[in-house]
Amino acid sequence: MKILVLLAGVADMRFALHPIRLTPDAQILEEGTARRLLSPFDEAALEVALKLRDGNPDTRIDVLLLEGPNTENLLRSVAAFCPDSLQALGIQAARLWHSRESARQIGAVIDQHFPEHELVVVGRELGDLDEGSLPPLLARSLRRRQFAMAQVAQWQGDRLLLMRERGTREEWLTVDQPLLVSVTNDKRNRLRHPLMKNVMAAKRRVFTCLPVPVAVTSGPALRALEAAPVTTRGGQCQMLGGDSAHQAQALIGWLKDQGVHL
Amino acid sequence: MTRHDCDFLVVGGGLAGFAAALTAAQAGLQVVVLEKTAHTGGSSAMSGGCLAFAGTDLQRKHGIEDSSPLLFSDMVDVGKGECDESLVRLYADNQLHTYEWLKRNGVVFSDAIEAASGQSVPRVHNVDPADMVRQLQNAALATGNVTLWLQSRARRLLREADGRVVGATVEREGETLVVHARRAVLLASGGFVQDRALIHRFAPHYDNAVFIGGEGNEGDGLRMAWALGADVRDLPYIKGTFGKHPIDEHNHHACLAVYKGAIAVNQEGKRFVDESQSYKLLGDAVMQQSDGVGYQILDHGIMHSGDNQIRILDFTRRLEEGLFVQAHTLEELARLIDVPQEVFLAQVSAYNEAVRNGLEPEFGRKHLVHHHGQLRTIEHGPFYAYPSTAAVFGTYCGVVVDAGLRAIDVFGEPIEGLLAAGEMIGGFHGAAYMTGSALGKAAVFGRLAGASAAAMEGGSK
Repeated sequence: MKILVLLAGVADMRFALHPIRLTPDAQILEEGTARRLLSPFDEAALEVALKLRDGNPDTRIDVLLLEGPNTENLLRSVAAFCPDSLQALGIQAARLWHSRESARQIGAVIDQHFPEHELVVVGRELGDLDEGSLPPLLARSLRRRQFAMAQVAQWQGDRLLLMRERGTREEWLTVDQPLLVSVTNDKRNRLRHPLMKNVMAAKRRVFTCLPVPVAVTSGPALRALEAAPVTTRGGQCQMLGGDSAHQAQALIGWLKDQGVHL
Repeated sequence: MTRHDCDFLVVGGGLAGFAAALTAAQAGLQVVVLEKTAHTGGSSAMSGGCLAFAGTDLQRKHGIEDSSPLLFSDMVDVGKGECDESLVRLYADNQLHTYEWLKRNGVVFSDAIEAASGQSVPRVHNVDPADMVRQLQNAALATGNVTLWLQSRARRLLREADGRVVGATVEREGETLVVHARRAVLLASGGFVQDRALIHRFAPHYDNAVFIGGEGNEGDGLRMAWALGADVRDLPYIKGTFGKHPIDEHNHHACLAVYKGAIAVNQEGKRFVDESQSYKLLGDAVMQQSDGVGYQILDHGIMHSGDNQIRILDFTRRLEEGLFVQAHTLEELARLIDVPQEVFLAQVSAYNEAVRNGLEPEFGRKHLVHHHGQLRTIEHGPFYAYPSTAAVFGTYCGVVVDAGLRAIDVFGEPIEGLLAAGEMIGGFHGAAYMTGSALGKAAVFGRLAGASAAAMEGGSK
């Protein structure tokens, strides 16, 4: 079994927002120390693939990570899980709002480099700018069927089964053809801890970037970026001291002062 | 070249710089503070917020008996005799006044107090480090005597014919200008944690460590002092702090479950050190292990003996962040972290057996931390592993100074007009260091450097 995992990363909100600007050719240039981390959907997609390899060591995992801010760090964090191959994908990640075009470009890469992979596994949303339309568009571009909202993938003998829950029921699919699987996060596919020896080995790795083989077609283009309005925050922050009982009492007192009836 | 005049030029907008600027400004000096980056705070603001003070009201409130002599003795002990005792004495004699001075100038200390590396009694006083720098900065600017220049980098020191330092050339807004200081120039620009080549020159065994520090800490001050013949100390003792999660980019500070009873094992499943030692020595030890990484192993009781208000002991907060590997049994934990199960179980068992019988476990561990705390067994699940390597937070070495914080040259003579404080200086820590003494020295020596400048005669104009 060959699996291609497609990852995008999302902005790490624990770091300060970074400046962005528009280039003359209508691309978004992200500057400063922009940071990305794997989204919960990325992590779930990766873990699903890792579990399938656990269950069948003949499984091969290839990973493509959309290029963007902080790519090298993100590649290192993925490399610690030892996929069989890992490359950046030279697509403009900042234009993922143009889902149809992005799906066309990614599809062309997969057709050219990974045509034999039985499974393409992707999170249910691919990056910050995808609202969930990219996986079905990519499936169409690849002329594959999609199994959406997958939560579990497992082997039953030689058969590969996928599962998603709907209400109180479980839907199971036996995979019998090349498929695109979009994965949602679930406690059963929470990404494992990497082994430290692999983390340290990943620090020394060098990565390559796979270019997109097709030209960008015309389509909607950005004309300008407006500064986001700055919200002025009012009020004062007050730390509550003492043990939890004192803190609770102080909080009740404060709420009463604000006119809350308790 | 544009010229600007002041009484006191401070290079570096971290804790030492603003402690000095505020002290000098309160004495009436006109001060210019240069900060190379766009933001003040530097490594101070990124630190764990621990300051080592002794004999404070906070310690008395917690029933802790401590004193300057005991602090002095602990510091010399942890420095393994390699430190300059006159600097340690200077710190011990002035730390309590500095603690009170910080409070008077708006710095807020949390109520929690803990023992940590190198401390015979609990003396870690906790602050929000970024807020501490901000408070001193605000107080300094409020005097009306301090001018802060951001994105302004000192490049060379200026000397008069008699050798006295009288200012610096500064790169600012694309222009090189000259700032003349009538009294003194203070180098408070931190160490060189962001210059890997310089680190490699003195501590090549730390190449695989994690490096965390102010983005401007590239050794500017050290190079400028070197150029004038300044002597240096403690360069062989550059060390990393044990307890840094190798892939966690959000918690800059280390996690030290070992100081609450955890053991440290390597990837072969074996203990490799007396875990009660200074976390700098633990950093050295972990860098000698395979891949420079190990695990802190603890059980349910140790997990919940931490304190989320203290950054190095905030275990359950980190557990919520998913940073600990968790297992119901030690066998499962061994499998999850991929260490040889039999070896690992035998090591934990031997450690527990020694603790139960009041014997010293391997490597001679006697206490939880330094001379404090009774050892405890690791036997009640769930069990946890915290991946740990060493993080180089600072370089803890640098320019030799005297009791007036004057830089001393290689012939033992003071370089007139040149002061140094904070992470810039060498000789204070020696071979290892006590938790809270790095940030503490920035406050104490920064304040003393400001007073020293105020006591100096004005130079030429």
